[in-house]
Amino acid sequence: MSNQLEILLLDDELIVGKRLKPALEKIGCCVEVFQDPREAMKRIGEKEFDIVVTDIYMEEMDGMQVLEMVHDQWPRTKIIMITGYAMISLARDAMEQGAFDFIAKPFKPDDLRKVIAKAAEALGSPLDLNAPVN
Amino acid sequence: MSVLIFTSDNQELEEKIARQSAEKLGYKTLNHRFLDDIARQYSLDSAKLREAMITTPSILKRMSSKMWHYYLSCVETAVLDRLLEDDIVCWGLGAHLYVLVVSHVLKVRLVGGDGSASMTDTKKERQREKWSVAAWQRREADPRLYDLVINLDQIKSDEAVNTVTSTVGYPRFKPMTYSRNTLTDRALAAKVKNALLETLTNIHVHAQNGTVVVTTTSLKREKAKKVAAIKEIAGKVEGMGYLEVHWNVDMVSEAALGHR
Repeated sequence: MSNQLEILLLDDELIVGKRLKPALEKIGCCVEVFQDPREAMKRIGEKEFDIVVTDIYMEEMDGMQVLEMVHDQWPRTKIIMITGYAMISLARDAMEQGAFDFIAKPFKPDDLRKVIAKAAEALGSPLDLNAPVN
Repeated sequence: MSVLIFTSDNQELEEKIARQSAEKLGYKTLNHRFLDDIARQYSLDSAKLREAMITTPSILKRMSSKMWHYYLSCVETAVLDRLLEDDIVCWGLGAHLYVLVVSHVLKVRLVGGDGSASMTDTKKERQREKWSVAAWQRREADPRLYDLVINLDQIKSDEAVNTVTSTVGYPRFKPMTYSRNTLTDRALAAKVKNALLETLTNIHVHAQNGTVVVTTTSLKREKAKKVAAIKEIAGKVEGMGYLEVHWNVDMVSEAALGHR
């Protein structure tokens, strides 16, 4: 695994990936964006990502299923759940099933960057959010 | 780490179990003694503040509805500010009624513990219910408001402490970005409401991601003045992001005016 943080971002809304990919690349992360959960799961089957950021409500597959599958296959991977339908029971269930964090949409790219930095620290590869990226 | 809130009609057992839980977890405590600090901080009459925490507005007790809502708002603001710190066991401040949607707060209701309920207990329960409905539109005894309800007639207090301290360690009660933001928004809304209630009435405040929405009612002729006052007062509150004021006509006062 390289020193660069490998992130898979799954959200069925095109705009989310479009906005967040450059925001995360700016802090030196390598980001693969998926809109289709089945394609994302296929990729997860092939590669261990450091962090998976997934939406919860998607037509093809529930983000909670993604969480369970990633957790089973790659226990080291930190999973961050994002949703526009946040509520207390869903948030608690996600944490109980092993999510690293849970964020309600809408959020600013900087909010996600902070959570990614926390996850990176938990993985033992701290990120400097202020460091310039080549 | 998390926040633990206890509530019970039996204050002695509530305090004992809350203190033992805090000691076992190494958490700080926040309880009814904090009311004196709040009274000092907001220059309130301490005895009246304690009275406001147990009774509803009454002309006989010289506690107007306006004053009562302002006093409760001072408590809510000060308590939420402290709860932002985490690692706290809280009781005796009605906090469970205004952090219902915060997922890293474990809310525990302790019932029983003193044998069968007497007439005085029933009266106390009724008074408590009246208070919680008037203040927060919730029945305090409703078990659905809590994550855990423990019957102290059946479970010993040390067993209750063990149950609570192990439950708060479940991943579902861990703070997360969503729950922290929810609590921060609640604290901001409380701060804005508190600033407005000092001079105004009929104020409801909601905050999300730092955006504050104030809803109010008044006579049509007072609309511009009231909206301007809200914008001026709320705009000065620290941490305020975007402010929106929603105004509705006070139909009752308007109708009363029309009949004069």
